[in-house]
Amino acid sequence: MSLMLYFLRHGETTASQTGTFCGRLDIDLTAEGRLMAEDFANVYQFLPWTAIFSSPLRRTVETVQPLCDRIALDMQLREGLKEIAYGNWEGKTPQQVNQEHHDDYVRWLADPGWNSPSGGEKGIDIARRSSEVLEEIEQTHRQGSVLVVSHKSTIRIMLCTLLGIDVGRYRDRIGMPVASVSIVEMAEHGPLVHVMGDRAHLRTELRSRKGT
Amino acid sequence: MGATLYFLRHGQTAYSQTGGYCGTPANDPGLTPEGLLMAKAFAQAYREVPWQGIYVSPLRRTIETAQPLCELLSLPMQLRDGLKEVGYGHWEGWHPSDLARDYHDEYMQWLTDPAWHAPPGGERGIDIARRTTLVLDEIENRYPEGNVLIVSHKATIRIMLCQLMGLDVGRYRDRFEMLVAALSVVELADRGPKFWVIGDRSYLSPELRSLPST
Repeated sequence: MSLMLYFLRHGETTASQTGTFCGRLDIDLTAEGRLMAEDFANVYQFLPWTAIFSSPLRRTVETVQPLCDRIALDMQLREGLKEIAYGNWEGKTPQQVNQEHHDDYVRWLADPGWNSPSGGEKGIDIARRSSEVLEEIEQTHRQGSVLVVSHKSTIRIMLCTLLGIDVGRYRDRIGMPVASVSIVEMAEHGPLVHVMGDRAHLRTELRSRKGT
Repeated sequence: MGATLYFLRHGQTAYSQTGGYCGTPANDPGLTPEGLLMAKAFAQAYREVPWQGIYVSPLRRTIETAQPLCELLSLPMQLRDGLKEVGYGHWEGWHPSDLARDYHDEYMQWLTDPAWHAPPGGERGIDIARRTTLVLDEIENRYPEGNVLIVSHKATIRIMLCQLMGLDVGRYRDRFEMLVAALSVVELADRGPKFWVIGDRSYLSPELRSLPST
């Protein structure tokens, strides 16, 4: 049996509702986001978890806390799993950024792999720091189920890296709604995607909520 | 904003339980009773989707998978040869352990790069990529928006996903699992194909979901 990686995006936040840029801003889950964390714990508490790694931001920690409480397993925080740094765009809407940083914004939309938000991180920087975490996990866990709790950009970039897709395509090729789960087996011939974007663990009202 | 494509792999067959290779019409098994239950579960779960079109590979197992939904909603099935499974040539009906013994080197080459290696007398991945692209092109031109169901096969669906995602076709066997009755949803968005879900089987009952599958 090989190592199975479970990538979990955090639950709903006000930024995921409105679509404002929220990278290093350390906001909490909404009430519905906390219910998503509960629903995740309810369904996934029965898996024999080997380890749990999380981004140290509050929205990811709050998403995995209910599971950690229930199965009495500590989460290991890793800086490499943090969300993209949006620099001067943090807290702004796409419309504002389009006005205030027009050229940077247009370049970033076309290729976020090698272009950064003004004062922020390029996709390729995120690919490097998240790869170090995945490398650590692979080195320390040859098998078992490992949960990786992270963010929309960071998870999509890790999936691009694992699949072999250009990092600059992460925003256009992969949708990744809040609280979705993606499962990748580190198989003999490389990463094998079992499921991507699964939200079956959420109650219907939560699954049908609008948002990014 | 373009159409949203739902790729559905057919339900359980005798071959999908044991891992035998089966592609051509001469070797065309139907669904098992459990496979038919999977098809019915799909029809129940997805009857509310406003389907614009249903495109199906003309093999028995895919037709039987699409049938319950088509009957429930009185929708016609569009059969397309381009959606058929890989032609396995001389390997039709064979099992992996026998191929490893009797066709050792050819089998190893094909396992390592199925894009540019064909089973003897069969199809290369790249051939399947070409014929499926014609079907996807037809769908894209005909439906500027709406939901389109594509019922096809394990290798064929994985090759279409590679093409849409921008992955080398030779990686299709090693990057995607795709169990029977698995559903993948791809939106043809302004800046290219956007993958929302890959390999979803949550609409199946826990009993059907836990059946062994390749």
